[in-house]
Amino acid sequence: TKQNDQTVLRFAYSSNSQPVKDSMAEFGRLLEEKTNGEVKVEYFPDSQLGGERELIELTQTGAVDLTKVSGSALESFSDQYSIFGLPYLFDDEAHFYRVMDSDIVKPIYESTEELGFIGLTYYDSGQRSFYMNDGPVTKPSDLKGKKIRVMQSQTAIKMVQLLGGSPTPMGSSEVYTSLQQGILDGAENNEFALTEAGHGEVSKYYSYDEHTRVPDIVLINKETIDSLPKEHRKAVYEAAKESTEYEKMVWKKAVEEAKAKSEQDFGITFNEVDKKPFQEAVAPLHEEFKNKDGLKNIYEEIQKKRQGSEGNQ
Amino acid sequence: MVIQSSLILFGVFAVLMAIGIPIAISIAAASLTTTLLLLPFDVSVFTSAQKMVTSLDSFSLIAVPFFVLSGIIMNNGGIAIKLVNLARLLGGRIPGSLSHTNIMGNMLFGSISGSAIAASTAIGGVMVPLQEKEGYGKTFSAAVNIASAPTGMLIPPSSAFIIYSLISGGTSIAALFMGGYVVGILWGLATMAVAFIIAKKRNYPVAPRVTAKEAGKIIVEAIPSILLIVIVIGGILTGIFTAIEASAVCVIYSLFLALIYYKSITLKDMPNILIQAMQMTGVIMFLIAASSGMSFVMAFTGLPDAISNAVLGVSDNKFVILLIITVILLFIGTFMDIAPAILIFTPIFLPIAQNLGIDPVHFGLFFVFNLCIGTITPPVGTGLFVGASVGGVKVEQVIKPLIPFYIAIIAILLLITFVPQVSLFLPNMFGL
Amino acid sequence: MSNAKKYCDKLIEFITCTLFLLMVAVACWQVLSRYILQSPSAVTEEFLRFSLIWLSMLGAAYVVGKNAHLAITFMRDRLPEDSRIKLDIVIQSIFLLFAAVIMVFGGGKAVSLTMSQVSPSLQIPMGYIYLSLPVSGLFILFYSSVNIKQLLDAKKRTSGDLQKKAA
Ligand code: NA
Ligand code: NA
Repeated sequence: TKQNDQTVLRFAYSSNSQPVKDSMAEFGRLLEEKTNGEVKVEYFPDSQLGGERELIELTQTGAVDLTKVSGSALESFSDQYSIFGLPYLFDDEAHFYRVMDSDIVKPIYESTEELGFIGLTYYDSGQRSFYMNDGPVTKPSDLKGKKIRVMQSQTAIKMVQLLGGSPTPMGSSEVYTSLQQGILDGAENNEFALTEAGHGEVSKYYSYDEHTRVPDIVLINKETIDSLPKEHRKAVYEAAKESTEYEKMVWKKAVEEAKAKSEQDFGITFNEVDKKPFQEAVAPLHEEFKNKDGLKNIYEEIQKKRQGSEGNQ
Repeated sequence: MVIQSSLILFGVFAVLMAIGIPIAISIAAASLTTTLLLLPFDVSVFTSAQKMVTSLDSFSLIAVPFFVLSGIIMNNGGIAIKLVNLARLLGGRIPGSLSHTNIMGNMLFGSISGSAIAASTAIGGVMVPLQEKEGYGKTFSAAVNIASAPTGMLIPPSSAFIIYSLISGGTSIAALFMGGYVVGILWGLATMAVAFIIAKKRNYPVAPRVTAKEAGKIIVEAIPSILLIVIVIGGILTGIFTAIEASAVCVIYSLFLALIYYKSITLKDMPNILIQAMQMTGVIMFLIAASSGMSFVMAFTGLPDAISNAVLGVSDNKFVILLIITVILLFIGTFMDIAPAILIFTPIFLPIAQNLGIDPVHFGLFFVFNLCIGTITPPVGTGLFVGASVGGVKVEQVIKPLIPFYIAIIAILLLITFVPQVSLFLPNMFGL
Repeated sequence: MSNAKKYCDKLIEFITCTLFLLMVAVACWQVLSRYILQSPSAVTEEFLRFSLIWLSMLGAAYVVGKNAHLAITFMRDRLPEDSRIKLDIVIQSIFLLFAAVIMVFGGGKAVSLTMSQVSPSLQIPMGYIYLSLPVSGLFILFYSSVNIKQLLDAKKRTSGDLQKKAA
């Protein structure tokens, strides 16, 4: 919207951890600075305007200009985003950054252009690992018969099945009580689930198997970005990229704090895990993705960015 | 912009509602009108449509039609009279015993059917004529029935708490249910205290003593119905099923009772029961769908922040702010139905409350309690209207005898609002 | 027209009651499957959520036919009969407008926008869920038209009565 020579962009997001919120605010600050106050960002935080799926639709129609959602929420809109749900797609954080900061993600970002919105940048959402009520997970057999909450995604369900667990898809609002009442034996998420969602009050063992790294994606309405004058458009892209760098930094710091808090306040035990047997167990999923039309290229590109691969020179 | 759009929003809403347009349509039309100020026509219309659908896209809400259905099955199952007998046994020797029977009957039946309207119709329908026969004042009997009916909305299962849990971002339903017992029973005790004083003053009769044998028979007959409460709450607390899944178990159990155990309905009655439940679901869900459009518009115009700043600007004293919120909610309740009020005002008041360090479970309990009072106050109160017609009196006649009950209930409201330990002790005891 | 309304009622009754029973069964299956099967069903929750939307929307349309949506009729009840009929015609027209603009037009837009969006568990187009809105909107259009026709008939009758009285 234009108000006396000033363009105001509406940025709506769902509930988020503090570092992500700070980074979205940083985006607005940078954009205003770069455009000498000609472009301002107005925020609608904490699911005020709806959940992630709704927010994407609102961005699609232009009711809001910007939103930030999990990459997994985008799977429903574009098949391309489903690649991020593939367990052990990335070897580690460095591999993840190498891919996400390269041009590999560009076709993914643009795959929703026809729907009326595109990806602008990504925010690190950390790694997802298993956390359990009764004990650590050091090998796949520790998950045998355990009821593990997963997000409503076919890939996540298959992953837990391949590891021997019993996947229980459930909306996030019921997880805490279900862990507490023993309907669930565990769940999988990043460290903030322990502190911010309070799951650490019930689940005392967090095992770093690091099965997935699903980035958050900042989306912008296609018409909005196209209608901006060239220098403003450039400022949007720059502010987005710089806010990503900022986010990586504050995210790491916040994870360390969450970990310390979990250990002190909740008495959580963190343990490292040998990932090899986990990677082997989910290999069938890699076969599946490798042969999917439209994902094959991206999969290969991502593989090339592994440590020691040819593409990573 | 905030002031202009909220004037339009509430102005259009009030006018449409006053002339008799269904509340859901009034809310939706007012929301769309306001959205049109901010967004182009086709985007506004899409947004209204989207909100109607997505607001119902929630697993928690499944519990609403299921509890409605099991309530209707129980209502048709002739179990009201068995609960009345039990309540009579429990309240038998207290002065004004028939009034206490009515109150406890409403609490028991409400805890099973989840509906204040069903309770006041089923229990009041039996009790009000009985009280009249024994010389209790007609308007007094109706007032007792009206004043105690909302306990059924607080004592679980309770759709109101499910809607609140949903809109507040997943507050534990199990904790709200346990707290719901406390506040619902307190409400019931407050009305019993008032009935006791009035009955004593007017020398209303005490029921004759019941023999042990009769008492045993009454208890045995009521056990299968009461067992529903045990199954639902026990199942939730032991982790066999979630509070939402409990609603489906409720349907199966009430079907078992009505079809097989009491044989009070046959399979032939089922279509009609399902149609009734479908209609009630349609009414409630349509209201929810429309109201979420209004919360969207309010968030879009920044109204929650504006109200929150205004309230916090008045004072930074926790008690003063809580008192302001209490009074505003009591006012809202006088004209607004409970489900839309929860949907529209949770996003405004919960953040303020959390700012003051109030637990979301505690907030949910006094918030819903407060709005429940609105269902029995003039000018608009479904509980008031239905209760008056069940009691065969005019709404105007029943207001005066209701006043002492209002005072007692508001006293309890203040107690649970300002002393969190009262409503939270049960949830805390179960570690929820 | 009243015959058509009867068929319409029957159709909605049949669909919603079947759906309702199916929902109860699926919800119970969700609990049971957790205990019987090692991998519980992934689709029950989504099925229940989507069914609820359809059930609610069709139920809401049905209730329009029965004139049973919650309204505050305090003022309306105090009007003389012919003014009350006029007001009822206005109310039904607003229903008509609401159904046409938000449910049929807005809902139709939502359907076309979300046909390419796939639901996470059932893998069906989200447009099928949004479709509940224009469909029940069409039912509401039909029902309020029937209501308006009946009101117009009643209006003719009362004004006829009044004329007779005047004569
Ligand atoms: Na209840
Ligand atoms: Na009221």
